Amino acid sequence: MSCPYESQIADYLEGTLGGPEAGRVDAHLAGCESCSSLVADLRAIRATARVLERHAPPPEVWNRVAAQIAADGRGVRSHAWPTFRGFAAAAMIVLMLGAGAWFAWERQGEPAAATAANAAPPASASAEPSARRTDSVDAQLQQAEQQYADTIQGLDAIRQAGSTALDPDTAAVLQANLTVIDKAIGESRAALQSEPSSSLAQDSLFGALQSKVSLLQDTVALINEMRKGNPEGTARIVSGMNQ
Amino acid sequence: MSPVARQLLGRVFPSKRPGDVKSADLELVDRCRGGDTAAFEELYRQHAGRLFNLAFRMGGPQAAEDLLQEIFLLAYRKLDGFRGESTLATWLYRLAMNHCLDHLRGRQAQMGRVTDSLDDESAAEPVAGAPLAGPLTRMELERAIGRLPAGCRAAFLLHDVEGFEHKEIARMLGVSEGTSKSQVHKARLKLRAMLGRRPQTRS
Repeated sequence: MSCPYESQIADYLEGTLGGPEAGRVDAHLAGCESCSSLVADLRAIRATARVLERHAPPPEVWNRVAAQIAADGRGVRSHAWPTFRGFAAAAMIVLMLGAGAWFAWERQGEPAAATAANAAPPASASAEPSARRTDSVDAQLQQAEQQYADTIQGLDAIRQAGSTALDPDTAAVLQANLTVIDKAIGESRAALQSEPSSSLAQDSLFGALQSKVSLLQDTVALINEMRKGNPEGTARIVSGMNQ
Repeated sequence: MSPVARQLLGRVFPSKRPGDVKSADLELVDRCRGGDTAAFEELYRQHAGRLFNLAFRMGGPQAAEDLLQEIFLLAYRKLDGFRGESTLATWLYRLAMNHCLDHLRGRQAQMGRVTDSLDDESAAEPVAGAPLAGPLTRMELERAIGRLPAGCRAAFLLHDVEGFEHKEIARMLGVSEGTSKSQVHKARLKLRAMLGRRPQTRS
């Protein structure tokens, strides 16, 4: 590094330089293209790092942890999540990693893949291997959706039972979010009926279902924290809900 | 933090009391130690999201799930060692980061690239005067982070991505605050070098 001020840039960016020192660096940056470019780039890196995509752990991880602990002889229950198999498991992992896609789609206001007017009939039984594969995929999709539905039903029951722990404003915000997600689930189902083979529609439906599971899961955790009167725990959950 | 989070926090909890955090952590850990099976699930739900992102970026997408599972199994078995001297989050992050670093050392050993320090200085050495090639995208940054040496990647993830203070990072990594600061700055410089103009191929 050739410029003597470059050694101060780390502290300058941290905001730990004293007033006079920071002022001198400010003045230097106004006239040094190399240092001002460096500061701008490092700020861009720091700002982008704060908004990197947040990945959600698949529910199976908790099941495996709980099973291992139970096997160790200090039993931990594993009731919160159903066991997802085959497609359902793969779909959840893939869809959670790409969860941003649904939100982007929703924000852009794109139509949920045409209308449901010309819904294709379900694939009929056929001797052709490709048709059998289609049947199989349909069945797996239905199974996965049913598993999501069961999970959502269980979590929603817990949420409703504990809803008095939430203040009305918080409950209203959460309910508004659930309404948005329910609308997206409905649109995605309509799109999937219209185009059963559309991977985009499948992704949207399972992304929306996963969003609902995540929101309900966070809501239940929030209820627990508020019952305990733990503001830090609540803050962590609320922060996570917005990531 | 988003406006929704601020709205929720503002309406639900007007102020935060740091002392309550440790108290709540100790209570939760005590319940876990006492065999309260729901308590450990609660602990998992509170921390798994952030630790998964850490594992995802330290160990890579393929290893992230296994790492997270191992981290929580380790945590469960080591809970007796939690004394409440730091927050539970700090304790868990320290345990998680050590496990991720062990994983990387093991992977390097398998590849025959064992070094005394995980900070391989030959990797993406900062290049003076190499500004970013253009607007920085999240995907570009994500890829570049994956190429950082493990030591400064750890500090960078904890500070710039997860938002911890250097004081907390120092506890998690077992280094001084000054080392944490210098590692984060080094990581930023290396990232800039990777993402900036590439005047020549380094051998």
